[in-house]
Parts: sequence; C-alpha cells; structure tokens
Amino acid sequence: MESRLHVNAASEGGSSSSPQLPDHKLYPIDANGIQLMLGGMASAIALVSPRKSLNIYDSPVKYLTVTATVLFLYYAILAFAGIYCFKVPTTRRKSMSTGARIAAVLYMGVATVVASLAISLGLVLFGAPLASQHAETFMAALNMALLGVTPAILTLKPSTEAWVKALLSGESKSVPELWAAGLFWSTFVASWSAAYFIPLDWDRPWQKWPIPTVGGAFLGNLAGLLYVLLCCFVLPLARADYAETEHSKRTMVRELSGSLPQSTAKKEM
Amino acid sequence: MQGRRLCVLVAILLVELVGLGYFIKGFFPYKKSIPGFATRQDLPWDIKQAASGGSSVMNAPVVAARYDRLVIMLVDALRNDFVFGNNSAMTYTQEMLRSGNAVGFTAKALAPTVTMPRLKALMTGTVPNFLDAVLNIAESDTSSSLKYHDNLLWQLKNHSNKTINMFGDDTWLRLFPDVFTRTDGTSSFFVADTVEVDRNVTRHVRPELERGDWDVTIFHYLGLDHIGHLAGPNSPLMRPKQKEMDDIVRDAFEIVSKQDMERMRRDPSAKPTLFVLLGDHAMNEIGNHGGNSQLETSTVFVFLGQGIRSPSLAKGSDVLSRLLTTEVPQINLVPTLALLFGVPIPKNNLGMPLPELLASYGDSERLRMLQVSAHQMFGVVRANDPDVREVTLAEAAGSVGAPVNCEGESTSDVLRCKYKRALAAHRRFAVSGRGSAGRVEREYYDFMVHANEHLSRAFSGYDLGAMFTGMAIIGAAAAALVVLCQASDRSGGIFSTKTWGLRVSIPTAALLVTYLISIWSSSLIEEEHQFWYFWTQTMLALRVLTSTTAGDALRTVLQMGLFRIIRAWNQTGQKWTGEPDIRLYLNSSHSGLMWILVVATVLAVNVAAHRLHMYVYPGPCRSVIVRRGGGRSSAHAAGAMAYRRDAEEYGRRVAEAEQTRVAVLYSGAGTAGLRVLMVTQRVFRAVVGYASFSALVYQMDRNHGWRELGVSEGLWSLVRLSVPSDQAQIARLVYLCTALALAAGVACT
Repeated sequence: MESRLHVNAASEGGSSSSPQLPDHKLYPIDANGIQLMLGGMASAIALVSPRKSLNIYDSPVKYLTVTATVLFLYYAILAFAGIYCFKVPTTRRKSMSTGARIAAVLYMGVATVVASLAISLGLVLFGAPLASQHAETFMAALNMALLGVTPAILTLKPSTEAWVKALLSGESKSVPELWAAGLFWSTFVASWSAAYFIPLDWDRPWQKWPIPTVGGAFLGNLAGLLYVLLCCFVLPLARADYAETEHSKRTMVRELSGSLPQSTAKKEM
Repeated sequence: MQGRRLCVLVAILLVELVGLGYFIKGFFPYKKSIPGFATRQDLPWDIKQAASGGSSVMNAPVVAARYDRLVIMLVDALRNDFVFGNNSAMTYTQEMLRSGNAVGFTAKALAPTVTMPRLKALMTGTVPNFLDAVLNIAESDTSSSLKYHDNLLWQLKNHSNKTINMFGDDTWLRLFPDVFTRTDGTSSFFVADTVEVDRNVTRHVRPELERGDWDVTIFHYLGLDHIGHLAGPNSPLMRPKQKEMDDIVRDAFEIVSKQDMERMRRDPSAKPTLFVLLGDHAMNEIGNHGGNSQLETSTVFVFLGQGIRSPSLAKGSDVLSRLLTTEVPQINLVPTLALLFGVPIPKNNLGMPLPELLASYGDSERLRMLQVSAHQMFGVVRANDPDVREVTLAEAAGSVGAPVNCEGESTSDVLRCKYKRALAAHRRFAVSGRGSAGRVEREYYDFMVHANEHLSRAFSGYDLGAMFTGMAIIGAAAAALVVLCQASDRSGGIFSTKTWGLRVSIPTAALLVTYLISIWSSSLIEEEHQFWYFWTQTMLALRVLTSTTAGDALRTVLQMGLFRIIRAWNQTGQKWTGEPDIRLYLNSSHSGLMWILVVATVLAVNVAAHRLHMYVYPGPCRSVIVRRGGGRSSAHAAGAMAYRRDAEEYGRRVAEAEQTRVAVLYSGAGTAGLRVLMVTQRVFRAVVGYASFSALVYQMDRNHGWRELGVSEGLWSLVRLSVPSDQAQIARLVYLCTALALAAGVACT
C-alpha cells in the first residue's frame, strides 16, 4: 500500500507555470473527498448525542458497538476509495483494481483489531478491571483504535521504522505523517488525561468505566482533526497564497523599474 | 563537574530549609499560654468589698460546689443526631431529655476533629492546632502530655483531693500521666474491632462504680468510632451500638443515683453525682473525621444528675429537634464543670460557663461564678497583650454610673472596657440592687464571647503571608532541582523540548504539574495511590515506546504486567476499599497458594541479595570478588546493573571491571586481607540466609502454614528443631555480622 507521497512543490511539478512557484492547487480541495469526510464526522457526532434507546450511560457496550461500526464503515469507504488525508490523487483512483482495494480494506480491519487488542492490554495494565467488564474494555479499546490508530494504518507503511519516524520522532513530517501523528497523539493524550476524572468523588454517571477514557478519545480525536486540518490544509494554502502574492508583487516591481535582476525569485516553499 | 553539581544541590537544600522555616512560622501560630496551675490566689476580689481598703483575695468568696462526684461517659465520634435524631436508638437518654430530667446541647468541636486534640480541649479549654493531630498518631509520644498545663483533672485531683479513675482509650493515659488511680487503657489503633474494645470498658462499669471509693470516673468508648470508620454512620451496626451505649447510660446513672441516696442519707454534707455523656468529635457521611465540616464538628453534651432540670421552655416532644440546633462551643465544658465542682478554672481556658446549668443557683452566686469566669478569661487576654492593664477594684467601683459604649482602637482596649463595664454593673447590682441580674449576666457574656472570639482567632490564625512566602521559596527550589536533575535526560524524540536553552522532558513536566494540581482536590489526595499507579504505568509505557530493542520493550511490558498485579494486591483508599483484591483471595480460599508464594519470595529475596551483595564494595575489592566470583559472567552481571538500554555505558563498565581485575591480579596487594574479607562475606551471607529461613519457619509455625501446605506433623517438628525458638538471638547475630561486614568493607576501601 503506497501512501507516502511527499507532497512537495518540487516533486509534483505538473501544472504550475514556473517550477519555483508553489502551486497551491497541489492541495486539492476535491469536493468529493471533503464532503465524504465531513459527512462521516457529522454522522458520528450525531450518534454521540444520547438518545432514549441508545444511551452510553445505560448500555455502554451497545452504544460503543454502534460507534465502532460507523467509524469502521467510514474508514472502510476511505480505504476502498484510496482516499487518505485530504488528498485525492487523480492518478491513483484509476490504477487500483477492486482486489487491491478489498485487500486494503481487509488489511485495515485486521490491523485495527490487532491494535485494539494491544490497546485493551494497555487499558488493563493502566488499571482497567481484569476480572469483570471485559466487553466494555474491549469496545473502548476498539473505538480508541479506530480513532487513533486507523489513520496511521491508512497512511503509513507497515514497517517499524516508518511508524517510529512518524509517531515518535521529533523530525519534521510530511503531510500524511502529520495527519497520522496528529490524530494518534491527540486521541491518546486526551484519553489518558480523561482518566484523571475517574477517582474523583463527584459521583457522576459519566465517571464509570469506560466512559471517561473513550469519551476523552473522541474529544481528543475531534481536537486533533481540527489541528490537522489547520496544519495540513489551511496553513499551506495560506503560505502558498502569500508566496504567490509576494511573487506577483515582485514581478510588478521589476516591470516597473524596467530591469530584471538575476536569481531574485525566492522559493517560499 | 561532580563537585559543582554537589554545590548546587547543597545550595538548593539550604534554600528549601529557609522556605520551610517561613512556612512553619506561618503555620504554627504563636500562643502564649500562662504557665502554672490556678489556685485560690487567682480568684478575683469580692465585688461588694469596699473600694478604698485595698483589694484582698484572702476573703474572696468561693461558691460552694454543687456536686462532689463526676461520671464522664465519652463516646468517641458521637454525633448529635445519634442522640437527638429520629433514627437514634438511645431511648433512655431521649426520654430523660423529653421529661426535663436532663439537659442537652449540640457541642461544636473545633478542627482538628481527632481524639487527642479534642481531649486536650475538653480538659483545658484551649484551642489546639494541627501539630496535635500529627502527634495523635505517634503512640509512644509523651511530649503531648498535659503534665505541665493547667487542666480540669489536675484541679479536681489536687484542689479537691479527688480520686480519678479512667477506663477506655489509652490516649488519656498519655495526656494525663500521674492523675489516675485505677485505669484500664485500651489501644485505639486497631479500628477493625468494634465489640471487644467496648466490652473491655463495660466490664468495669458496674464493679468500679459500685465500689464507691472513687470521685471521678471516666469511661471512654471507642466502638462507635470504629463502626463509623469501618462501615459508615448508616450501617446496620450503628443502631445496636447506640442501644448498647444507651444501656450503659441507664445502668451507670441508676447505680450512681442509688449510691447518692445512700450517701446523702448517711452524710448530710454529701453532694450528688453529675453524669455527663459527651462525644469528642463527630463523623461525616462516610464515617471519617478530622476536618471542619458541619457533620464532623457537631457532637453532644448531655448532663444528668440531681438538680439538673431543663428550663420549662425546653420540655416537650419537640425538644429533641431543637437540641439539634442548640449549638455551644465544646470548650464551655471546662468552666462549667470547674464552677459546679468548686475548683479553680484552668488558667488558659477560653470557654464560658453554660447558663442553663447555672440557672438553679441564686442570683448572687451565679453572678459570682460569672465574675470568676470573666476574671480568668481576662487573665488570658492580658497574658497575650501585656499592654492591657489590670482592672482594679477602685476602677470598677469608680465607673459605676452611666453605661458606656465600648469602642476602641484595638480589640484589647475594647475587651478591657467591656470587662470593666460588666464589673461595674455587677457592683451596682450587688451593692445597691439597681439594675437586674439578667442585665449583669448579659454584660459578662458579652465580654466573654468577644474575648473568646478574639483569642481563638489569634491562637489559630495562620500567617498566610509567611506561609505563601515559604511555599514560593520551596517551589522555586523544587523547580530548580527538577530542571537540574532531568537536564541530563537523554531520551529525546517527541518527549522532550528545548525551552530557554534547557532540555525539558515533557512527561516529567506533566507529572509535576498534574501532581501540583491534584493536591487541591481532596479525592485525589485520598486516592493518591491511584495517581502514582497511573503515572508509573505511564512512565513505563513511554519507556516501551522509546526502547531501542525489542527485548527491552518486552521486558518493560513484563514490568508493567507485574506492577498491575501489585496494584490489584491490596485495595486501599476511600472509594474502592471494599473491592475484592488478591489479598482477600489468598487469605480466604487460596491460603495454600499464599504460603507457596511466601516461601518463594523468601527464596527469591535471598538469591537476589546474594547476587547483589557481591557488588556492594567499590574499587579493587569488588573486582577481586568479581574475579573470584567467575570472570566473564560476573562482569556481565555487573553490567546488568547499569542501564541496559545504554550500550556504551554497559560496555564501558565491563571494560572497567576487566581493567581493574587485571591490575589487581598483577598487583598482589594484601591477598591475606582479601581472603579474610571473602570469608567474612561468605559467613555473612550464610547467617543472613539462616536468619531468613528461621524467620520463615517461625511465621509458618505460628500461623499453621505448614498445615495449609500439607506438610506432615512429624516432618514439621523436625524442621522446627533446626531453628532456634528465640528470634531475638538470630536478630542479634545478624546485627553482629552486618557490623563485621561493614567494617570489612570500610577496611577494604
């Protein structure tokens, strides 16, 4: 599964007028992709609001199963369509065969389940009850895996170095790596922090296991999504915009002064 | 580099000590207590005395005692609704209150609501501080005794020659050494027992009271407090215990009443007995106490005895619900009892006499008692503010006239003015009959209430400025220490950032910040162990994520697993203390497994100590031991002590060990001495091994572990023969060998 395209002005080349200009069209605002993502998120959020029949306080396992199903379907669709991050590469959609797509979906599913088992082990080690509430612990782990680990599964190569480089090292990351790392860390750090509410004696219904942990994961994922949107999408666009403006300003100045100094064109990206 | 670091550390330590000094200065308020014990000399002059002829205390009138025997029944953690509430099982007491034969109050205790400070307050009338709560736990501490502080029991014993007995909590014995004639102290530390601890007291009630040779008897019951701690105030154990206490009240009061009739028939000058039921503090919703909440500080006074009649307004069926809100300060017991028994009020008392109990006296007697009480309190005011002058008789006599409004710059001036005003009103009433007794009473109480407020605030007020200064200094020193310690942390990646030129590890910073925040939450303090469990696993998990080899990661995961087992071993804290834990399983259904684990642990500890012991000595001694211990493998083991993850460090240590080994091999220095050292070491290890074996056998013998394991009786007796029965001998042997080994080690270096 090839998914590390370093989205860089130099490598993409393509339809830009001059190789030095950053082409912000490289960050495609492909309507289908965005709509798909936003729709998925919206339906997930709609489910988060408690209804009479499906309530996280009364039947956490049932509720978490529904959420997990929605998330899984959402990511399955993404994997099937070959979409990841915010980029919809025009080339790839034609090149992948149906078999390859289904393989991608299966890989995502299996890897998610493996990750959820590891996470449930982690939850138990951090204090989840061992002799009871197995279903709750597993469903919480499955949801956390779907929220935090599946983006990384979709984006990163299945090798230890790629994962360590993306998630654990402090080097500068490409956009897909940033997406994976941002969602991973925001989900797990928020879930970890929410555990502080469990020993408090407020006696609220949402302090029972596993609600704080998985609720923190959802909220963290939302925050991470916004952050990643900002980093991968808004900021590069703004930078490209600024670069283009600067370039056109400089061109105007040159034309007005009538001379053309060598090598003053600055690459902003 | 090392030297500089050491200097910085010492500097940080000194700064922390300075900060600690500031904090202590602010936290432990300065309380000037009057030394010595009150005597008749401390009584004020007669208010009717002629103003000109110099005040003489020689003929100062003393109000005769109304009672000459006292029974105090102190039920630990007795909350007011346990006696006055609808759910109470104390029917006899409630009946006595309803019929007017008893007077009840809700007594407000002050923090810390823990037994020892409350007993101090109940007997001396002073306002204790939190240091007393700390000393409450130190069982063998004698520094908290009231031997040199004026207290009610001392006065009763030395002024009226009373014989005082005590049965119950041994805290009394620590507080009042040399006061009691007959005692039976029960330890208050083992909270699990709620039955025996009271039976130990109850078995003395009838025989001791019937002996009749006592003047004061104190019964201190701990069972109710233990029930509160174990199961809470709403548990099914509570009502039977209340009934038990009620039965004691009835039995004891009936015995002394009968005795009183006999005594007063035989001797007309004999006086009745006063029976007081009280609590030292109360309990909150979950049965704990120590703090300042409404529930923890609402305890009771119930007075029973001949001549105790509640005022006519306070009779009837709704008297009990009214008593739940009739609050008096707990320290008011001290002057009340002192005045009723005709002994001087303890010098440092801050309480006022309870007016309901003085109601049956005549006007002049009652006012005299109030004068005595106010005089005593004025003495405390003067001791704490030397600028306040004594109010002489001439002054009091001279200011009889128009009533004066007491305003002043300082509280001491206002208090002096109020005291003078009360004395003036008293003199006017006593000498010329003008005014009313009620008016004089009001003046006296006005002064005493104000004095009490002022002094309580002065004695327990914290100097917040000094405290915050201290905390800021300690905080700065701690921050510097943290930065210093983890500046050399090499783990990088996304877990550390560079701020102001220093490498900061994010997890450490998060740990510090969240710990500081958790201090502000009482439940996170109670469940602090959960905090540490969580953070240990977090740090181990981060170590897994940053480990360089797969083996290392697996080892750390195994550590996390073991720690999880430790976490499940014993449930503590408040919220989940009743949950089943491994200890419960091992003690009840799997005791065979428990004994196997005990034996395995002793074995493992011995083996580990054996291996560790070899590397304790630095320098050439160690390398020789390393050599004798077996070359390469020992060097490996030596390397195992270093951080396994750091390959260079490990390699360096191995090389170092090899080098020293070679050096010593060719130096030939002091082989004889080293041989002695080797022998000493082996002997030491053997003795320690034998000592732990014999300790194990002793424990298994005492708790019948060998039966759980299925060892036959004969075989066990053989095993027992190989071990001495006197464990102290073995301990001494171990101490001796430890000393020898240390000496050898020192000599080696």
